[in-house]
Amino acid sequence: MPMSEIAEGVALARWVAGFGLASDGETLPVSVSDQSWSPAFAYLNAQRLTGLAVAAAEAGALSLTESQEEELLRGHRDAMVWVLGIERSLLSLRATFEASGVEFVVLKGPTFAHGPYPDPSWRPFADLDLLVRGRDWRRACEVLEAEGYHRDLPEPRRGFDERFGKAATHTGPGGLQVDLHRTLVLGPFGLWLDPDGLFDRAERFELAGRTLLRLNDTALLLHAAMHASLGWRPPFLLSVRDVAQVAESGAVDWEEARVLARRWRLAAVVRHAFGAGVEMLGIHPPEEAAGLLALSPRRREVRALEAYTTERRGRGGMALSTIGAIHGPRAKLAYVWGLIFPDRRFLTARMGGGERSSYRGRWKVAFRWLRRRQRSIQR
Amino acid sequence: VTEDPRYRRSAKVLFRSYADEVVVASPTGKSFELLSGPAAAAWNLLSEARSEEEMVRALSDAYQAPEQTVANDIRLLIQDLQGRGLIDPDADE
Repeated sequence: MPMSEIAEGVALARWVAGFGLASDGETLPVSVSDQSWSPAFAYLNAQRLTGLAVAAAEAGALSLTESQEEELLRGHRDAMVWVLGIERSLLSLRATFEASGVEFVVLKGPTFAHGPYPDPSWRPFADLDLLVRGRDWRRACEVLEAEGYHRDLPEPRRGFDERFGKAATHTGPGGLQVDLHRTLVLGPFGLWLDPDGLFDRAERFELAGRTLLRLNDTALLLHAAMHASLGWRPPFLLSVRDVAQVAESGAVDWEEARVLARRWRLAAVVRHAFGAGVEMLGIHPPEEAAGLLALSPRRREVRALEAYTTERRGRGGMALSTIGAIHGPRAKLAYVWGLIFPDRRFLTARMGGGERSSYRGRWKVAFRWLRRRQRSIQR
Repeated sequence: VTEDPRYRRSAKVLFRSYADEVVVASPTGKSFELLSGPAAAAWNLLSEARSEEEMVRALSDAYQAPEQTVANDIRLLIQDLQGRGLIDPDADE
């Protein structure tokens, strides 16, 4: 496929991701050639931007041919059926968790859809993310197992999850994935924040007449920034949009956001996320964000951010940054030990069996990281 | 004088409305209902309590269709949605 068609598809997706917010982008009706439609649609689907594309087409800002519109609607219909299935499962899990005495906070997808976005159909999502307190972690895993959700990957060693983990993915009936979170992000930033304290920043929201908990808009903004900056490289367009959407429409307490960003060492992360909004979507932060963005990141934060956003990510950068964020030599040793000598069950699940599921196979990965690191230092 | 019954969406259903379509799901069911065109418009009207007559008037205006034709369709739609527990008679009546 010619590069120009791919480039046009990517440009369209970026424009769609900024639709409805004050941006530098094109304001005239935007259209896409038939040659470029196929990669553009694939990219819109992959980036979960069909809702914004449908809204843009409805508003007359995106001009599509009849067949393009039909394909877009078909894709979006599938996405909407999927999200309603997820919400159905969420309501069912709510009842089970409540009966088990485990409180949880809903993260990401459903809370963005039913929160800062003008219409829930603008914000598709693919899975369910639930945050539980550290003390409830084991119980919550048992509740999911009892409901037919099976953990994809066992923990490296007993107790590793509660001390160093971010979340465990459980796959349930019909292929729905539930990410059970202990904290918001893997690595140093997940360790620097106070996950249980997030429950003090939770508020109620209604879904089909039932009450659930979600992060308030201030904490939601910081979580969105973490997800946009630390989740994918390059950032996922919808995650960058989430940051801009909460900043523009959410009831953000900007002073509290500044205090939390300082406390949780997120100054560099927040800057990076808003920077991605400017660079990728042409959306500038609101004036109220000035104090938050004026925070000057510490050197350690910048180094930690680079472990996610540069080539260091593929050279074990996150693991090394995590070691630096863990308090005390005994805990550092426990983390490294868990990575080097994980349980056999973990090895087999992680490496897919065969030679690669041996300790030797696992250590080869670490040596490869070191070699890449050495090469880049020599360069 | 008895007033016409009024209906509204059940507060207990899940749905997404976009373009001229709505996907509706009962929280305890397994299937999904797809409403499109006038049926989707009718669903959107039911965000507030409406009588059949009010809906017929609104939809025949919007779609430039004879009231009698719209009235038959709306009656069937309301029966169907109510039977599936997706709409409720208005409690404020």
